Amino acid sequence: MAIVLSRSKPAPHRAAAADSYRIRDVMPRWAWWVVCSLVAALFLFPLAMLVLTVLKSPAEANASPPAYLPHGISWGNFGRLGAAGSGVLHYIGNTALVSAGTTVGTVIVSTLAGYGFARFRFPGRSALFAVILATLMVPFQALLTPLYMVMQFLHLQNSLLGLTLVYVTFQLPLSVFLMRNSFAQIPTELEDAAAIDGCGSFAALRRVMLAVVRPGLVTVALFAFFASWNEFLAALVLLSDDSRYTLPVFLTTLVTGKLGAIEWGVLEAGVLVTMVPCVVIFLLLQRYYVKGLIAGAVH
Amino acid sequence: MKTWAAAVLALLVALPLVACGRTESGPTTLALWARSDESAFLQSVVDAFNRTHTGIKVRMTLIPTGNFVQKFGLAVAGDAGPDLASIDLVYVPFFASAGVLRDITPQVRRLSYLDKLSPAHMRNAQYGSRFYALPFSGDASVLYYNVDLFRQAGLDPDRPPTTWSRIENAATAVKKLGGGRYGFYFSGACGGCNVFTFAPLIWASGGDILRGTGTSQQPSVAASPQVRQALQFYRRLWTSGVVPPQAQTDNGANQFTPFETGKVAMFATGAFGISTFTHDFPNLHFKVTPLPGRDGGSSSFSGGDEIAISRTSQHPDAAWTFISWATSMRAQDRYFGAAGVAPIRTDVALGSYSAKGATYATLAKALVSGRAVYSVQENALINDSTGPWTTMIADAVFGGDIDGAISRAQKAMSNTISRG
Repeated sequence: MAIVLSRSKPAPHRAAAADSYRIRDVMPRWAWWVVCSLVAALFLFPLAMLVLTVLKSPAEANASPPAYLPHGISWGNFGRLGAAGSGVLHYIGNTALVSAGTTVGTVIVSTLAGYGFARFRFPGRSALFAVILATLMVPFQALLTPLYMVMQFLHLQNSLLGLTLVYVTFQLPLSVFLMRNSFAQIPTELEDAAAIDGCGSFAALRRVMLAVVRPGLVTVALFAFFASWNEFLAALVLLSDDSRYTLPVFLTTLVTGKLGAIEWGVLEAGVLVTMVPCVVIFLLLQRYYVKGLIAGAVH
Repeated sequence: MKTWAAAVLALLVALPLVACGRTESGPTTLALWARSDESAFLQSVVDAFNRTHTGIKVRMTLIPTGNFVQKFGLAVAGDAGPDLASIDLVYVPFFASAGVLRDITPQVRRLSYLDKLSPAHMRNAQYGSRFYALPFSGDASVLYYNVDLFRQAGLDPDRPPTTWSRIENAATAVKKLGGGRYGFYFSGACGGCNVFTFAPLIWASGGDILRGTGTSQQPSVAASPQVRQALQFYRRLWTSGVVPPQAQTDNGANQFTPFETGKVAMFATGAFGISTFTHDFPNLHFKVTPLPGRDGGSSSFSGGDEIAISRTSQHPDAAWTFISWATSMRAQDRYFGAAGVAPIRTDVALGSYSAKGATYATLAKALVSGRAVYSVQENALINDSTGPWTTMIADAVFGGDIDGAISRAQKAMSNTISRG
């Protein structure tokens, strides 16, 4: 609707060309701010509730009807997080180790694979790529038992390294796909130019291409990081030592009580702790993120 | 350049993980797996054992409660199970039948205090007349009631309801107080909660939900008129509005909330309620009473954990040392009873535990005379949130189709059992 309106009344301050049908230009400035603030409030409400719940005492956190504002701040929930098991910091460390390993591993393998699929012709290329994509359709749960046996055979069961390798494997199909698209959209002239300057394929990849596919790299890295940071089932099944648990498994042991009762305050404190690194990393890297996602899609 | 830097980084990340060896020397270390909701007291039990034993150390790992069955089964199947497992007693027949537990019959038979152990636990510890576990921690379902709400509604807190109709009357009286107060609460979508607190109503009235054991086991929900009456009783409570609306969808996650906030007069749960309510809600004045039958009598679901040695354990003798210590009178009295968990020895339960007060005495009696569901298929039949038991309660109590719900449950349970 707004788009139709704006057509009869073009924005005064902008050139009428290109992307001129912007809702923002046809609204009074205050109205724009009001709408945006409302939308922002809508999205921030759950986060605000989360923070408020964390600061409540157990009785208040479980109150029904809910008490919206805590009566006085209680740090008890964080205290429980810190005191349980080996302490929350230990589990953050485990998770960070696994996530960093997964991210690095995924980025390296998918960059090389994506480059290969995009730039080299070899027999069975399409078939191989189709097989890689097809593995996206196998649900992880179906692989759980065989995977457990394999890890046991390799003596990687109950090890963070084993878990990292499993995560890398699960990230690869989508990551290879994204990286292939990222490389495919780069004009071949760029490589040709590098070749004239004396670069072989590998040197061209290192010196020229990596800079161009950065959005794709960042997207792959973000996906790998978030997925391994939050993963629960594989970590639960493969790790059987309290001190090696990752955050999601630790939190689950902490918050479920008798017959499935949940301690909301501790849970929300855990969610908050889990969420912070993800939010920070996303905010830092988000400008690459969308670019990487649509790489190759509008070519 | 970046690729190389990343590869080096990956190596650095991986190295310390590889370096984590698992060679241990010195005392025998036993791995004990327990569900996470046992954490509150189990650590103190393990610490006490480690303090008093030099050659054996027990290390506990907590498994998320909802994933224990899956994780333990998979680990033992992959020869990577723990030495000891603390298992919800309803799952012991299943694990025993699956061959993941060690047969400990000879050691069990030699125990001098065999007849002092909780009868419900002892029954579930057996499979085909062999013993695969021993009782570890106890629990029993009883009816908690809010003393203040009873007083306000003109009810005598010293004379709690002893029949279903008295429960209804008390609930209605509290509901009439208004102000968002309700008479009764149960988690309508939680199979485990409702076998713990609803099945005793049926048992106390003379009915049953399963008959026989093993391959000859049959569901008896259709054959027991008491099942129908109990469902009608819950249905009446629901339609008369004395139960808060969230009961319909509560899968157990919020089971304590309504009672804890002092808005609900009656709520059935186990021994763990005492410590939870007293510790977190000091202003809540409650008492407990046995779960009654339709016209009197009482029953209880006697729950808790059993302790078993896994088939793959390399240290069965050391594991047995822990088990026999944990079931000893001293350990049950000092480390279980004292921590608020019901002891699984009848001599301790009816002795020092009951001496702690009327609440404990009621619980102890309920534990000693209580029963449990015995089935290799317990999870599929009862605890599964889409299983026949949970579906029957939802359809009958909230949907109103009591006869249809019972016949569907009877059929579905038969199918599950016959599939084996």
